[in-house]
Amino acid sequence: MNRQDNDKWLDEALTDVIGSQEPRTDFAKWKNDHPDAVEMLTSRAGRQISAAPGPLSIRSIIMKSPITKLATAAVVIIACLIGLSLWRGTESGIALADVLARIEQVKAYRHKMSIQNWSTKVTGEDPNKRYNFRETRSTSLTSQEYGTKNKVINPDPNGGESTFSKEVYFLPQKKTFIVIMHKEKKYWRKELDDADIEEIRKQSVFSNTDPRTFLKGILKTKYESMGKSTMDGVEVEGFRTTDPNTTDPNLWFDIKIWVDVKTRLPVRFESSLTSVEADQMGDRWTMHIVMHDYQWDVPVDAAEFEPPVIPDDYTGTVVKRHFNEEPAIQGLKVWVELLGKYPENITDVGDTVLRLAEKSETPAAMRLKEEVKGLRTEEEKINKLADFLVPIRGLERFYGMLQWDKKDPAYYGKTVTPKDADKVLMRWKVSDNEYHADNEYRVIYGDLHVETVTPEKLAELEAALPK
Amino acid sequence: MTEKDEGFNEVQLVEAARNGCIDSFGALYEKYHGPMVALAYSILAGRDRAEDVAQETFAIACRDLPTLKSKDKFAAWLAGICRNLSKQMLRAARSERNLTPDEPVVRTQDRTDERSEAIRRAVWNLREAERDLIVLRYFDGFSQAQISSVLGISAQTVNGRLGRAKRKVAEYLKRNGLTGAHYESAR
Repeated sequence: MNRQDNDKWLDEALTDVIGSQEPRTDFAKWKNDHPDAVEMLTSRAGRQISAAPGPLSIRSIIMKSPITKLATAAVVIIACLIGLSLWRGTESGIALADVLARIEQVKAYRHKMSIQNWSTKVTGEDPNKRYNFRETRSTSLTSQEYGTKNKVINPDPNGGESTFSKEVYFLPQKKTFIVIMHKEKKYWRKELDDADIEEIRKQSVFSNTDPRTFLKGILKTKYESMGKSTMDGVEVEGFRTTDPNTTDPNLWFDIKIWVDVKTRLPVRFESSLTSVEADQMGDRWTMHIVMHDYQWDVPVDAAEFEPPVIPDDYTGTVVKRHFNEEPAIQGLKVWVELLGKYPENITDVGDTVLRLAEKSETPAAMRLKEEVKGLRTEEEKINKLADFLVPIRGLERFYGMLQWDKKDPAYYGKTVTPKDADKVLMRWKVSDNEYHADNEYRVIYGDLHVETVTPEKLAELEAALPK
Repeated sequence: MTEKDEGFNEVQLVEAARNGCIDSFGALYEKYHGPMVALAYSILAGRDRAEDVAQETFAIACRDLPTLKSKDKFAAWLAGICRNLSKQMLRAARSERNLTPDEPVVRTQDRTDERSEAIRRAVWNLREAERDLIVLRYFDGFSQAQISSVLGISAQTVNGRLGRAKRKVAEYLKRNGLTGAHYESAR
């Protein structure tokens, strides 16, 4: 038998025995199962868009992100505009700076938006044929005082009924950001602090579809008047900026705005953005955004910006400003059950708990040892031990997160016992600008009940700890 | 897509993930979840546990991503986390048992099981570096480039070591009475 034959049967044998029958890669599930890890990662989000270089990456973010999908296109365009060189606009009856000044006086407005994305093939196909066409339409109500609410509809490309796909609420007074995904029957809610709110206002979803931001961008570019015309019975003057020499060399863009000659307020914005280079699939992508049907200075009521009622059968993730201490409490509980006291410190606890449990004579440790002895296979034994290891690792990870995020954590397991209901076992600083007053601390006591306390109260508690 | 392009894009993904972009982290998860399960499986020899370790690996990666010094070595860095976690779990398990480190799991029910167990025994008797290669290669058919980036070794080294590891497996099986002819006739 030659080497090739030898390899063939061995390849088959190894695939039969080792081969994975069912790959279970599911990032959505992972995110649901690890909200603390997701929160830790996303809390570092600063300038995600600018961190994603090149049109391919930008498109990837646009296509995937549930939060930024709606208006990332506008973000990109604004980012391009702001980078343009200044030049003098053509003379016209309307000064765009005046339009901006008028918009800045508006307290609340409604508008509609549509975003269309498609690809065209660079070679070998009809360059005008569109692939991967997608469209979303939305209606928005924006109030300087109360925030923004946005309803997203996906039209059926075959002319059928549109799908009400998503609602997005940015409610700064309620310090909440909510996304409800109706198709998936899921929701995502994030509690915001002042820094989050500022960040969203500065560069996130709504601010970049805000006509003020848009106009500020246009004012920095070489725009020209398209003259006067009538749009939906209203006399308007159009302006346009396209100069390819002044924009990002990776993008072609064409931006137009029409302004009501009487009110000097915008009636419609249109933006087209196309990648100059094809991506690795040979596709050139285009995004076309239209913002229209503006109703300026509409009256609004606070009741319109109440958080929505989420249907009972929807599942969701709530990202709280303070860390969820439940994993730490579960880990401490398991440790005490096995060893009768708390760990002296929270380093490598996952590695040491079972080694210590071997010598422990607590009922839980004795029971565990008996149960493990009765198991036949390695896998069964590891599974059994994992019931104890997983919560302990949750404790370790929770404490690591507090350290990483500089939440001023401290742990007193050396001196505090499960009977010490009035002694602080672990504490960390609650996020600034949260619902709680600044600088408050979250405290887990020896009996594992939890409270939020003032720094003064914490100082008293820590002064009372055994030395 | 060339290997260079892939690496270049991966550095971009890692950078974006470090800056808090969950979608970029998702793309890295999609790419490396399978290899991490395989790597954990190579150490733990249990699929469910290997899945758990892979999940935990990505949770730790979320926490520690800012500490990653070389963004072009993300896969090898991730594999390091996965290995450490798997070994911690294995050590913890072994402290409860008195099995020697190389004692394989043997469950004999019929001849097919015997053959499978012989193959498993042959694989898990290999040195760790060789076993990792075999498992990564056959767990889900990962490419030479994927294996190379996860193990942090060159594609040539992957090829050379994989060939040697397979020969060792074949020799072990032959010593234990299982050859290609036996295997084919039993199928």
